[in-house]
Amino acid sequence: MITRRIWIAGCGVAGLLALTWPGPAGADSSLGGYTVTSSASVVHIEVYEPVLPLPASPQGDFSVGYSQTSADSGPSTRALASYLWPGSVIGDGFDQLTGKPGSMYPVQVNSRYPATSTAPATNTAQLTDGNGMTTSTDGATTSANVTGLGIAGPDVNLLGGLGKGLGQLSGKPSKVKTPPDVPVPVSSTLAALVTAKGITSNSTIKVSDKSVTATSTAAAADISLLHGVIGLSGIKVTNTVTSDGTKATTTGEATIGGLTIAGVKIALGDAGVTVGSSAIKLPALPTSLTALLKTLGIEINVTPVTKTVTGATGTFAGQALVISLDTGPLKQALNGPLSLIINLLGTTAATQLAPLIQLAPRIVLKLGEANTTVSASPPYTGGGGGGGGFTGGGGGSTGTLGTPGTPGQTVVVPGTGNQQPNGPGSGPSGPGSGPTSASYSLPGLGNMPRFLIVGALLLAAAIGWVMQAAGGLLLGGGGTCRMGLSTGVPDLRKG
Amino acid sequence: MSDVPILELIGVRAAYGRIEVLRGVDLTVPRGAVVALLGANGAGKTTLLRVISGLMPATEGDIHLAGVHVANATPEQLTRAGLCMVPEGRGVFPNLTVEENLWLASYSGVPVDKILTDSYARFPRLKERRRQLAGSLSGGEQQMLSLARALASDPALLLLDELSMGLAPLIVEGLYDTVSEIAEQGVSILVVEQFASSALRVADYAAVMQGGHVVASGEPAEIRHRLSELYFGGAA
Repeated sequence: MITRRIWIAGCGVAGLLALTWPGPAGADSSLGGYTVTSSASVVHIEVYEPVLPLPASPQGDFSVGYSQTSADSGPSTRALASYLWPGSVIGDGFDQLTGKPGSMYPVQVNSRYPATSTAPATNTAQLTDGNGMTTSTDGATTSANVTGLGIAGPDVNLLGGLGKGLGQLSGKPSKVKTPPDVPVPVSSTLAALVTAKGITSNSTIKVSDKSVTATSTAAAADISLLHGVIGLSGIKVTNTVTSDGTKATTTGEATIGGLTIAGVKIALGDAGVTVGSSAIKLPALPTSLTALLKTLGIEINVTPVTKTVTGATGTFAGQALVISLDTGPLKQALNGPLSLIINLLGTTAATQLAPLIQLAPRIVLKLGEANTTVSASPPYTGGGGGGGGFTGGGGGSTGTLGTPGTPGQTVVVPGTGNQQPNGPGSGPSGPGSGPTSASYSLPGLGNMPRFLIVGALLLAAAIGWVMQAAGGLLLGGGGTCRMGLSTGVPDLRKG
Repeated sequence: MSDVPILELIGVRAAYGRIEVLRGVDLTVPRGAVVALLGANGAGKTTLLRVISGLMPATEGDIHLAGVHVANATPEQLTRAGLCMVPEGRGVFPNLTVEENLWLASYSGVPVDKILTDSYARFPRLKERRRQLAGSLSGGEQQMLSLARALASDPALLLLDELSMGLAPLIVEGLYDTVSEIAEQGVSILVVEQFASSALRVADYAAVMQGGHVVASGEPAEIRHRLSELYFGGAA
């Protein structure tokens, strides 16, 4: 009997200890909840051609030097890094497009928390040391990096180098046995669109006890567009967004070190053009250059970065430069890089995408793009629920597909779709506002402080004991003995 | 051995609704003694056992076990403390075998093997019938099974209700021999019985109930002498 009681007591103690155990390693945050997304791309190319049978707009979307991280309370995180990212439709839907379940777009590495076999805690694929893709996450810190991206010298085409190195960037951690030729010889067709060198793309999310911070950076030493018609140097976009559940802060800027158009250097000042919270118009271009650009179907826009703070939600969206092209005159230049992706997709997708080569879509190049959104809710204190509003979607920021609103804290903010540049990127706006919360609910058990659970159990046990004793008194069983004997149930076997 | 009685009832009253069945019962069972509680039908004997074993609350009065005032104790608590009742009608599970009935007694923590060994040693007939359904046993065998199951809990105070009911006199005599053996091992026994002669044969003390009272108590010989008077003539 005693042994059984000891066992039961032991099980009870073990249960309480289990409840008080802080749980497996991960984001140990006291925040009530959070949602964070962060991405950066050195060159983001969007192709708009509605004729294409793809369920997305833009129909073609790929990035050079792409990093993306996301984190949700749970925690659940993902880090993605890709030298050449064909957009989420193709990149994430690769298996559906190819009809091969389980297949993955090869030029990427992923990390997830909790980790999976294809997305371990740390993952890397390198052409040479420091030239490659790396991701890592432990639930608290999530990071994605693309660095190097070939060392493209003058007249060296980045994409040509990528094509040569793709076989070594198939997402498998590898010690590169045969580094690619550097610099890579340029094919004149590919070089007509874009070349770049010295590229860095980084997205990082850090979750601490009191706050969550996301940082994204996209930078390139040199970018050459349209076979040198436009040249940029020292491009960098960086931002940091932090939320502690009650308020958010957003910092960041986009800078351009130097700009030349058709060999004409544009005066930028010693520090270059800093594109801050207000728009800075490009200096007036010479008439001859304007005419030349127009002939080529080219428009150049410098857009202000967008920094939005709404309660505990902070958003940053910015590009250093946005250039839109009418590819009629540049058709030949386009065929090269798109063919590269089409070849990766296999026969089925290639058939679907083949018309692209025959068309003359409009292309938007975003040089140095970084987007970050951080939303957090305050720690749960057991009190009444907060506001039930939902933050509206960030509608159509600079031509990208608007994202639906995420659950917010206190107020309703409509999407701010006023950053669409004059370029052709008519990205559809996201939903103007999310659904309105109609009711409140208790947080999940896992989000409740454990001392509350343990305290509630102890309180329930105490109340039960008191009620049992009170019941005995009410039934008259608690009366004292008239003879003054003690009350209880003795062990009759002890005589 | 302690002089404190293992069971002492003082002015115990109990009722079924408005019908008061026990009207102030005073009774003492010394430790290690066999006390026979006699009385006609409706005297309140079984009700008294139910009150002692916690199956029914007393509306008034004191129940002392080993010198401790017992208040609002549950049958489970009393059983753990060493009190065990063999109910009228035996209370065996008719659709289980003899062995399975005995297994049920292991709830008290006594190993099954020990229960079976002790039970079969005390009642060899049960070993012969161990694979037989309890419902197919004779009345005497069922009573043996009921007793064996009660003894498996290692009781200090055994309450036996109408041990002889429905049994042949020869069987009854055998059972009371067993009761005597149990008492010799130090178990205190309160046996409620209408079949007075057998109970008085093994009892150390006897009491007679009538109308919810204990109307007489004393040595078995004395009670035997007054039995007819107490049963049929009433007593003050």
